[in-house]
Amino acid sequence: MFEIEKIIEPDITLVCKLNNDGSIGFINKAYTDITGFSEKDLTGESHEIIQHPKMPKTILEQVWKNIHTNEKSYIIGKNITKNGEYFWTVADITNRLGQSKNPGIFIRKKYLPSNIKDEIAKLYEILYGIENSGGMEIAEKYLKGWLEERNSKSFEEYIFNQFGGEKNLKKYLTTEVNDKELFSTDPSSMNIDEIMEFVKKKKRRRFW
Amino acid sequence: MRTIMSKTDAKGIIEYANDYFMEISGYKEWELMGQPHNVIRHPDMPKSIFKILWDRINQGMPTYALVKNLAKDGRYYWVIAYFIPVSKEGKIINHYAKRKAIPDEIKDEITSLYNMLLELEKTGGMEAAEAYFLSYLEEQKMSYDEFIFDTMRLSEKELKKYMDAQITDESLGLDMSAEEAIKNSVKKKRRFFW
Repeated sequence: MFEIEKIIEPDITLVCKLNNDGSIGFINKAYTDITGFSEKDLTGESHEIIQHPKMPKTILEQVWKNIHTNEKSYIIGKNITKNGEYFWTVADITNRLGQSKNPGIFIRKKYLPSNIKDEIAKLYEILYGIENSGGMEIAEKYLKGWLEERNSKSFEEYIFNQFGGEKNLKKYLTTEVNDKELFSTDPSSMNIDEIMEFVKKKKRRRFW
Repeated sequence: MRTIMSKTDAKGIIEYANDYFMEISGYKEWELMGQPHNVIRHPDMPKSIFKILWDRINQGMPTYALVKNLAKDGRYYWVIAYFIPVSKEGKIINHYAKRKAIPDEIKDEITSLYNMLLELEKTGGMEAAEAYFLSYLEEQKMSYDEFIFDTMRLSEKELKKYMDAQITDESLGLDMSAEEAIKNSVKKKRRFFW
C-alpha cells in the first residue's frame, strides 16, 4: 500500500478546504482528478484520510500549531490517492476560520520539485522511525539539529530557503490558480521560471 | 571531504547526527537518537584521553581529539573530532561535534601513544595515565592544543580549514585545497614522536 509514486504535473493546483474540526469541507476538481477520490468520498471525513499514514507527527503537530497562530502556514506533505499511490506536495495553508464569509482552513498544494523531495522523503522516514522507537521528544530534537545543520531556525524557514524565500514560494504556489479571490498574492522579484531554475540549481551547501 | 556531525545534550545523549555519521557508524537514526554517545566508543580508547577531553569541554573550551570509534558491525574508524560546547545562561546545554578522517600515518602514531596510555591505565589506573600524558606535554613545553596541531602537522588555522571543508554541490567535487593540505601535512616533520 502507498508504494507507488503518482507523478503530478507542476502546473496543477490542488485545493482543499477544512472545517474547524479538521474535517474536509471542499476539494477542487483537480483534487478529485488526481486522487481518484470523489467529493462524496471526502466531504465530512477527517483530513487524515488523504494524508500518508507515515507522515511524521513531529511535522504535523508543528503545522497545526502554526495554523492556529499564523494566518499563513506552509507544509511539505506526502499525500495518497484512492488507488493506494502517493504523491508529494508543497502547500500553503490559510487560516480563514475567523472570517464571516466562507470560513475555513484553505490548503493549496502544488507539485514538489524532486531535488527537494529526495531530502524530505529521507527526513520524514527518519522522523517517523524515531517517533516509533524513541518517541516524539527525541524526534523533535532530531528535527532541530537537522534544521540547524541546514541553517534554518524552523521547518518553514527551511521550506522558504528551498524556494529562495517566502515571496518566491508564494509566487510558486499561486501560479495558475484560477480562484484568485481566495488567495492574495505578493509581488516577487522572480517570475515562475526563475523560481524553478533557482530550485533546480540550488546548492546544497550546509552550515553548522 | 565529508564531515561527520553530531549534537548531544550536556550529558552526552545524542540529539542529532548527520547522514555521514550514519553511513560511517552503520547505525540507523532511530537506533542512535536518545542513546549515550559512548555507544560508538571503542575499547582501544584510553579513558585518560576522554577524561582530559571532558574536563576541557565542561569548562566550555572547544576541544580537538583524535578518536578511534566503533561502528555497529564492530569495525573501527579514526577521526579528528572537534567538540564545541554551547552554553545558555552560564550552563552548558549542548555539545556539537564535527569529525574528519585522518591520514593512516597519523593513525599509526596515535595508536602507539594510546597503547602506552592503555598499558598505564591497566597497571596504575586512569590517574597514572593522565598524569603521564600531562607531564609529557609539560616536558615538551606543549599545550594540549599544540599536541593536536603537532600530531596533525597543521597550524591551528589550517586545521580549522580542514574541519570546515565541505562538499559543494556545484561541482560535486572536493574542496581540493583542504584535501591537499592534509595530504601534504603528513610529509612534514613533527617536533617529537611518541
